[in-house]
Amino acid sequence: MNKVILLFVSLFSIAMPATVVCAADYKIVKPEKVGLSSERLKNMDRLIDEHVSQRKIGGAVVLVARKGKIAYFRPSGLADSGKAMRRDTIFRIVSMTKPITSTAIMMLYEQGKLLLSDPVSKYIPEFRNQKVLVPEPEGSAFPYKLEAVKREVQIRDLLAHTSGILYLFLNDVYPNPARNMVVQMYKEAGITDGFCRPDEEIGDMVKRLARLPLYAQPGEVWDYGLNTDILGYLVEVVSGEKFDSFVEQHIFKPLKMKDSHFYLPEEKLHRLAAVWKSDWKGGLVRADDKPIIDGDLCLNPGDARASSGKYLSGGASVLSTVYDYFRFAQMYLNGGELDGVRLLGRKTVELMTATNHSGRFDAEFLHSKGWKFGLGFAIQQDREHSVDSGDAGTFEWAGIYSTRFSVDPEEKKITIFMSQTNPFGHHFELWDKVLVQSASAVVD
Amino acid sequence: MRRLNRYMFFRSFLAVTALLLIWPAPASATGPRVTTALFSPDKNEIHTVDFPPYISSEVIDGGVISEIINSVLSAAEIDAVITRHPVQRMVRYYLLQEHAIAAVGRRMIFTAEEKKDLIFIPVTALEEKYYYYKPTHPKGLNWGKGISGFNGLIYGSQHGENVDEYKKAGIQVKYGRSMALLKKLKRGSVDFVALPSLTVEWLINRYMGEEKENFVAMDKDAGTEMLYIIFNRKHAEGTEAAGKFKKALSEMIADGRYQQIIEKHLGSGDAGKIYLRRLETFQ
Repeated sequence: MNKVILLFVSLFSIAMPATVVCAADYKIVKPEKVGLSSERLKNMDRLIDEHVSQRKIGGAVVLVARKGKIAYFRPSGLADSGKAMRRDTIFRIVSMTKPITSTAIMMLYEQGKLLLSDPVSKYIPEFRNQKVLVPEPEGSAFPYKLEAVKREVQIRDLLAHTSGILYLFLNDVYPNPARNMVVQMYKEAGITDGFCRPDEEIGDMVKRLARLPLYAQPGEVWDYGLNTDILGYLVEVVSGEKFDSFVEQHIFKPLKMKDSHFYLPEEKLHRLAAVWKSDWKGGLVRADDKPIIDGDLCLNPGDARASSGKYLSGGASVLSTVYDYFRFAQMYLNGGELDGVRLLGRKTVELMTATNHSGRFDAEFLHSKGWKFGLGFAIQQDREHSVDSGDAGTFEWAGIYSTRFSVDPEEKKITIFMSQTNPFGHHFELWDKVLVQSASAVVD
Repeated sequence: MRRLNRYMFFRSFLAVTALLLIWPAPASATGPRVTTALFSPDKNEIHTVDFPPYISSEVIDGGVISEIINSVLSAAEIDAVITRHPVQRMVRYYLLQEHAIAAVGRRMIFTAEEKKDLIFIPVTALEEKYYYYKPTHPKGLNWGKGISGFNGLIYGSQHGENVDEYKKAGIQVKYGRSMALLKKLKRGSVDFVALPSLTVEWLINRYMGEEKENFVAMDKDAGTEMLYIIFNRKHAEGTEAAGKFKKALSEMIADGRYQQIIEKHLGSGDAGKIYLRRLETFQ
C-alpha cells in the first residue's frame, strides 16, 4: 500500500475537528452539549490514528452519540487504496445484521404472527424430531449416538443462541469432538456460515441444516451459530415476503437507513470500503476480492460487490454505514421508536435486552463472564465480573470484518466503530479501547 | 433428455427384474394397518439420503424412487416410512447403530462383517454420465484417448465410489455431494464428474437454470449404479420385511405397476415435467 497516501490521509483526518459537519445532512453537536468532553474525545482520535499510522488498520469510522445527538463522528485513514475513509463509507457489517433480523422477528411477534415459545417446526417442518449428537468414548464401535431432543428448538432459542446450532468457523476456536463431528456433517451437507455467500436460497440451506444433529440440547448451551440465518428464513415463511424486502420495507425505509442493503446498488459501489489484511505488526495489504479461507472460516470480500444474488443471510448479509446503524441503535435506545416512527414497543425492547434468556450460560464469544445474550444482542449483566467500560444493561454486538456497536441505556450513549480488517481476532482489544474512550468522555 | 431417461429406466427395469428373479422369496405375514410412525417418530423408519429428483421432498410424491418404495411397502403391508437425511453418514448411523429396519442408497460401503446382517434388494439401476463445464474447458473434454487423456485433471466423486482407476491415471480426486460437485465444476475446482443425467438435469434447472448450456455431457457413459433397499437383520422385523418387500416388488414389476410409476414421473409431453415441479414455500 502507498505509505505516503496513508500518512497524508491520516494527518488530514487528525487535522479535522471532530465536530465539523460534512456536506451530508448529519447533525452533529458539540460534545459538551450532551455531557461529553471534546478534550477527552481527543483520546479517541489518538487511539484510532495510532492504529492507522502503525498500519494495523487501513482506516475506521467512529461515532459517539449521547442523548439522541451525534457528538463525535470521525473517519480516519483509508477506505480503499488511494481513497480516504468518509462518514458515508459503506461497510460489510456481517454479524451486526443479526440485531436487524431479530428486530424483524420481534415485529412479527408484536403483530401476533408468532410466539417466542413457538417451536420452529411449527413454521419450518424440517425441524421436527431433531436429534442431538452425543460423542461416544474413544474406541467405541460408532463415534457418536443421536439422542432425541428433550424439547424442540423454539424461536427464543434462535434469538438467544441457545438452540445447539453451530457456526462452522468456531470449530477452530473451541475445538472438541462433538463440535467437530457436527461441523463435519454440516460440511458434508453443504452448510456454510454464509460469510462466503453460497449460490442458493436461504431456505434451501435452512431445510438441510434442520435435519442435521444439534450440538447440544436446546436451552442447555449458549453457542453462537447460524440461528439468525434461520430467523431470516422464518421471516419469509411467517410474513410471506422475501426477507430482504421485508427488512427494506419495514425497517430500513421507516428508519431512513438509506445506505443499508443486502445487495449494494451499483451506483453505491464506489463507497464500499475495501477489506485490509493486517498482521497487527505493520503488515497491511488490501485484500483482493477472492475468498479468504482460514480453517473452517470462509470470508469473501468480493461478495459485497454483487448487485444481486440469491442468498439472504439474516446473520451476515447486510451492508451499511455508521450513520445508518446509529439510526437503528437510536431506535432501540429510544425504546423502539425514532423520529416519530415506532418499530417496536418499549416492553418488547425491554424483553429483548433482558439478561435472563440464556440461563446460566454467558455469552463469552465476544466478551467474557458477566455478559448474557438477550434476543439479538449481548448484554452486560453486572459489575461483578471483569469489564472495561459501560454499565449493566449495555447491549452490543460486532461483525467479523471488524465492526462493533454498543448501546448504553444508562448513559443514553451509543458508540459505533467500523473498520474492514482481517483477521478479526486482533480487534477485540481495539474495540474495547474504543468503548473505554467513549465512556471516559462522559463528564456530566 | 427425457427419451434417454426413459431408456435408462427401461434398462433399470430389466436389471432389477433379472436380479429379483434370482432372489429367494420368503414367507409373508400380515403387518399392522396403522403406521407406528404416527405415534413414535423413531420406529420403523427407512433411512435414506436426499437424492433429487429420485428421492426428494421437492418432487411430487417424493420422487420416482420414493413412490416405488412406498408403493411396495404398502403392497407388502410393511409398516415403515421413508426418512430423508442430508448426509449419508446419518443413514449409516441409523442402519448400523440404531438397527433401523432398512436404508435406501447407492455407493454405500460396508465391511464384510456388516454385510452379514444386511439384505440388499435392488430397486433400480441408475445410468451415469460424465460432465464437464464448458467455460472451463471451451475446447471440450472427451474420452478419445481413454482415461489417460485426463491425466493431471481433477475428478469430482461422491463418497463411496471406487476411484482407484482415476488415481492410477494421474487424476486427482475431490469429493462432494451431487450439488456440491456441480458447483465445484462451475468454480473450476474439479474438471469432470460422473452423475445420473436426471439428477444433473434437475439440479441445474432448480439452482442454475441460466447455466444449462454450460454443463456438457461427455461422449462416454460413466456406468451403472445400482440403488438398493437394504434391510437389517438386526431389526426384529428386518428379515421378514425383506422377503415381503422383494415379493411385492417382483409382483409390481410383473403386473406393470412399477412401469406405471416410472411413466408417471417421466411420462412423455409437457405433463411429464410435473415431477420436476418445485414445491415452492411461497411465491
